[in-house]
Formats: sequence, structure tokens, C-alpha cells
Amino acid sequence: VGFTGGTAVAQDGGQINVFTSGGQPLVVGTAASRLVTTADPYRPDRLQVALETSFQRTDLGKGALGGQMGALLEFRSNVLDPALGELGRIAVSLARTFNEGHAAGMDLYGQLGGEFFDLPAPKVAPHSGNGGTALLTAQVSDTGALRAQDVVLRFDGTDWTATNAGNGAPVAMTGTGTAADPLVVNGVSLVVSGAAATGDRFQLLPTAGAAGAISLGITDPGRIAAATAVKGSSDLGNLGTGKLSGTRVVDAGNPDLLAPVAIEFIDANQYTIDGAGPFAYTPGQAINHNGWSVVLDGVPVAGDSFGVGPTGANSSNNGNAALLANLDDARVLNAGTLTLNGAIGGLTTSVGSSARQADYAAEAQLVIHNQAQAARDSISGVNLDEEAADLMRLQQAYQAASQIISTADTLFQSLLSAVRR
Amino acid sequence: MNGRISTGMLYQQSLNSMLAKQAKLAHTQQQLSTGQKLVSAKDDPVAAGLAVGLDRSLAELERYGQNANILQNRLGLQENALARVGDAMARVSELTIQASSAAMGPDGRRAISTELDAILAGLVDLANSTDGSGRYLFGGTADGNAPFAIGAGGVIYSGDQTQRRVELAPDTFVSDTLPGSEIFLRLRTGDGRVQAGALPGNTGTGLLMDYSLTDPAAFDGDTYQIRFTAADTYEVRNSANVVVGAGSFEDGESIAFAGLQVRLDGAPATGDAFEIGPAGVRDVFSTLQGLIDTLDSNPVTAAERTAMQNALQGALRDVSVASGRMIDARAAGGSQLRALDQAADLREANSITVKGALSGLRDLDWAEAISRYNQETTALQAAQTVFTQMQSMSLFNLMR
Repeated sequence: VGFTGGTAVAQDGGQINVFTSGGQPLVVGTAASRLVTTADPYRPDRLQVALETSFQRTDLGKGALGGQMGALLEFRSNVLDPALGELGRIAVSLARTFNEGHAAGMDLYGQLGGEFFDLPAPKVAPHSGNGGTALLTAQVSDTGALRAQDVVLRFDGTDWTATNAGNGAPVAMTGTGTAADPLVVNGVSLVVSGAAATGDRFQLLPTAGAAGAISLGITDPGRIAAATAVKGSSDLGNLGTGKLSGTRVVDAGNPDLLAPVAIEFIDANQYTIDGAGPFAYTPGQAINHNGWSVVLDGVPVAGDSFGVGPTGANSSNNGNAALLANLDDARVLNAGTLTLNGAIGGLTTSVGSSARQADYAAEAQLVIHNQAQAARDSISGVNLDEEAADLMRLQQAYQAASQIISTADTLFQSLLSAVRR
Repeated sequence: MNGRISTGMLYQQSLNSMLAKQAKLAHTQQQLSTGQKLVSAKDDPVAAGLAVGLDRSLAELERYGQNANILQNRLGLQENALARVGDAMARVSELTIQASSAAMGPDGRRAISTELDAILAGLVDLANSTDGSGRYLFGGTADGNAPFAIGAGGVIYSGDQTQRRVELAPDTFVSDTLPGSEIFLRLRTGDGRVQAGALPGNTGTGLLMDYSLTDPAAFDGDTYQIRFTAADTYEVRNSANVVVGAGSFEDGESIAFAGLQVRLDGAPATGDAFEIGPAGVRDVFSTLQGLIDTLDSNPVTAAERTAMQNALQGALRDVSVASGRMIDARAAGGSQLRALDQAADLREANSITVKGALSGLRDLDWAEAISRYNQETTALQAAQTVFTQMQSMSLFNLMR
């Protein structure tokens, strides 16, 4: 009972039946159940506790066990798993945000930045009892919508529904599961392949384990895309004071990003971009083209020209590195409300407060335990002084009784001596 | 609980209280040995969460400091290089003035031209200064190779025009060294707004003494020619070769038109022409090279001497504009160094504030902790003494 928690109920005839705190019988009459471990239906590497009686096996879920085992299981499901998931979520968000920023830069070889971090795909585990051949492949599609909670997906014959694996609450999901219209739940896109049978279940672990599986995608320091991918320059023969500044990449996916572009002024107030235009010029305006943006300021004169082109190899430009350095304060989590720093701080606080909560509970339980023990001992316990007093009392009674015998003996002896002659 | 206390309970209670006191003592001991109030996050979950963020801020400030050291080194080197460039430019204008003296003969000019050659070579070397880590100071961000090279057609600049900005304190950026194009290239000619010169084929001794833009509103940006129709009359033509003015010329008198003013000396011949128009751009190396070529020209006739004088005057102006630019560049570098110091102050102040906040969240109050430690030790000792006395206190002891 110390391991599992539970209650003992005395029966007529001196028998005692023992039940777990969830009401499952451990010992009933002369039959004892055995505690065994079974594999989680979704994840065979994970063990659960089950109760095996002579005729059936019952999984002991949350709340069905108390005691040390119950506490360990509860710790796993209430503290360890969420913390792992949250840590994974932070790792995934960091990697995705960093990769996104990295792709907008240019490395030492003049190539656009590749994947800086290699990221594992979210795990989708089929239930061991699934009848269909369906397999789900998942990938994170929206960092802002990503949540750490595990989700159970169930196929009801026509549609897929999603529920929170922890509390069974429904989770909003869109899409049909085809490659063109994937199922989207909590920022994860899922594509179904094969045929699912009615009642098939899958568990989606969006981020659990991601923190441990994340790895560096590049090993050559020269591949770090520290430079802004494009740079602006003004023609050395320009007579005006026009100046390009604030060059940055807005859309790294633009196929023409690195195409050289010429901005030419046909007069002081109008310019063309690669011959297109003219566009009106206002000093300090931002020019957006081909996925980049530059700020053009000053007083250009007719004939002045400016060029924007790829940064090129072996550049010491630090533009992208400066952006990457500030990603930790970018609000990317929870639909753009939480920074990575904030998430780490929050995780520390939530684990810390779980520990604090457990501490408080343990303190309260200790007081109850001590009270109960004191109450029991006050009735059934031995007090040595009490025993000593009793002992002395009995000793004295014994002595008194011996005294009576001695007196009687004296009387008897005097009587005997009186009649002997 | 009723009045009856069992001996086992007595022992148990003493034990429990001793264990609890020991646990507290161990915690205090841990605090004292680490110097931290928070042994683990459960001691104060909120403070622990905040401390994570503050720790990162502190690490960031440290990194900024290292950035600042590197930048300071580069800006210091830029300052040194520009100071030497400034010295060279001062020497160039001195030599030019010397060369334009009427008393200067061909040998003197040759000597000056030789020195200018050396200065030009030195200037290219200065423009190709490195920062000590193999990167060129004045190459913008394309600073892997020497940015300046003198080719047949003049200087070739292979750097770019991007000026790095380095974050030295939270959201405080300071610019790195200037790209060479902003220092050595694209210098306005003439007086910075308009430039004038004698046409090459002039046969008279007309000297271009002075010119300026007196009324910017009246100047339309066109290039005008002052052409002498006779020794004492001239006409002004615009770039479309349309006569826009005419007048009679007297030695040393100013000619004014279209917001411009030109003063000519000497005796221009018929057909001589002078040109004035908006200033163009030139790099400092071409200016020097032009000056050297002029000095090497070795004039013989009066007309040739006049042409050289005019060229030397033009060069003097260009050199003075270039010197002005070098001074501007040094001033910009100086203000960057100042911004560097300000960023350092900001970092320092931030660092103290963050450390203070962290210390408040996490660090141990030693006086409090030590007195608490003593108090807990005393309490534990008292509990132990009471326990030994309690267990010796038995009725059985009195029964012997």
C-alpha cells in the first residue's frame, strides 16, 4: 500500500480486502492481483502500470494509483512531460526562427544561408490497436501557433477530430489531410497517407524530444550567413548627395532577390528601377523591390544612379548577424506574444512552482501524518513512566501480599508454639 | 490529542523536530556555501524565472563590450590613417603653392613632382591600410582584398559602399570605419559647387584667377563658355552654343552672368575660351596624378606656362576640397569614438542595474544567513540536549 496507496477494508471472518486508491482490487479474499508493466499503446518504449488479475488486465491510469508509484507516474505526466514539451517547443521555435533569419543572409561563399539547425519532425505515433494502414507525416508550419500539448487524432470514418491528450478537451483542427489541404492543428500540418479505419487513433507529440534531437545543420563556420544578402551602392560619378542606407531583406524567398537592380534618376524628383517607372522620389523613402528594401535619402540630381545587388563572397557585412543576435527578443511564440527569453523564464518558473507546490503538499501531509501517528500512539503506545508506575504499584501490592503471608505465618507459628509442650 | 503521551511518540517527535531542523540547517549551509539565496528554482519560482532573463542580458552586455573593443581598435586605426592622409594632403597643397610660384624652374618642378609621386604611392598604401586581422579598413564590407589599385585608367576601387553598424549597447548602433569611396573617391571638383577651367587650345595668357557661384537661384546648372571674340571682347555661350551674353574685357575685372562670377587676368588671345559649369566628381588619386602630369609638362611658351598655372590653380582647389573631406572623415570617426564611449557608459550603467536586480533576486544576505545559521545550529543543539535529557529522564532510573 505504501507503493500504490489505497485502502484496506476488514471483512467478516478476519479477512482484509485491499484496494488501490482508484478502487481496483489488490487483494480480495484469497485472490491477489499482480502489478505488471505494459507498453503505452502509442509509444512502445514507454511503460505504464497495469493490474493483472487471474482473468483480466486493467491499465491503471492517472488517479488510479497513489503512494510512491502514483507519485512517480503523476510526476511524469504532470511535470516531466509538459516541461519536456515546452522545452521542445522553445527549441523548435528557436531553430525555426533562426533558420528563417539565417536564410535571408549570405555566407562567406556568397550563397544564401542554409538551414542552420536541423530539426526533427514532430512525432506521430499510431495506436497499437489501429486497424487501418494510415500513416501521418507531420511538420511544423506555424511557430506562433505551436503548442507543447500532445494531441490525440481520431478518425471517425469520415472526419478526423483532435483532442488534448491530457484532459480530452477538443482541439480546433482544419483541413482534410491531403497534401494540398493538410490537417492543421496547433501549428502542425499533417498529411495522411494510406487508408485509416474507423476508430483509428494517433498521438501527435508536437515538440516532445525536439530539444534533444536538434542539431547543427552546418559545420563550416564559413557557411554562417552573417551578411545581409543584398547591398546598395551609389555610382561613383554621382553628383547629388543621394545615399542608400538601411538595406535589408524583406522576403528571402523572392527568386529575384539577388538580381542586380539599377535605380536611375531621370530628374531630381523621379527615378526608374531597371527602366520601369518613373516613380516619384521623396527623401528618406524606402524602396521595396525584389524582396529587399532600401532607404534612399539626400538630394540626388538627374543622371545619378544607384545599384542594389548581391553582397558577394568574402564580405565582412554583419547586417544579418546583427538581426540574428536579436532574435531572442523576437515575439514568435503564442501567436507573436511571447519571446524565446520569456518562454525560458516561464518554463523555469513553472517547473519551480511545481516543485514548490509539491513541497507545500509534502509539508501539509507531514503534519497530518504526525498528528495521526500521535493520535494512534496516545491510545496504543507505551509510556515507560506509566509502566514504571504500574510496576511499582504491582510490586507494592506484591509486597503487601507477602506481608500478609508473613503475618499469617507468624500467627500460625505462635499458635503452634502455644500448643506444643 | 489527549494527555497521554507514549514514549515511542516522545522519541518520534524529538526525532522529527531534529530532522526538520537538520534539513533547514542543510539548506542554510548550501546557501552559505554557494552565496546564493536560490538554491533551486523552487525557492522562489518567479525570481528564478526573472533571473534567467537577467542573466542573458548580462551576457549580452559582456558581448557588446567585446564588440566595442574590436570597433575601438578599428576606429583608432582609421583615425591614425586619416591623420597621416591629412598630413600628406597638407604637404600636397604646400608643394602645389610652391610649384605655382613664378620663380620655380623646371628642376624645382621636377623635384616637387618626384615628391608628389612618393606621396601618391603613400596615399594608396594608406587607403589600403589593414586592421591588423587581415581586413582592409577602407573597403566597406568587401574588405577581403586591397580596395584601391592604380590602373592605367586611374584608380580602381574594388571595395563597396556599405558601412557596417555594430551594436554596442542595447539598441545602440555605432558605425564602423568609413568605406574608402566616401573618403578618397567622389570628391567634388572646383569649389565644390561649380568648376571652371581654361580650354586646352588657348594661345593667350588669360589666367583664370577666381570664380564662384554668387546666386544659386539664378544658376541653371548649364555649362557656359566664355569665348574671346577679340582681345578685349567676349561672348558667353551656353552648352547649346547659343550666345547668352557678351561684353568687353578688362584685365582683372569680373565677368558675371547666370549667377556665376569669373575673374580673368592677363591677356587672352582671340579664340581663347574658358569654361564654367557645375562641379563634377574626381578621386583624390586622379587629382594628384593630374598635378604630377602638369608639373612634368615642362612649359616653354607663355601660353603653355599660362595653361600650367591654370591647371595648378585648379589642382589647388581640388586638393583643398579633398583635404576638407579628410577632415570631415576624421571628425566622423571622432564622433563615432565618442559614441563608443557613450555606449560604454550606457553598458556600464545597465550592467550595474542588472547586477543589482539579479543580486536582489538571487544573492544571499550574508548577515541574515549567518545569523540564521547560528540560530538554527543553536536550535538543533537545544533539541539534541533536550532529547538526551529526556531519554535519561525515566522513572526506572529512580527505582534503583
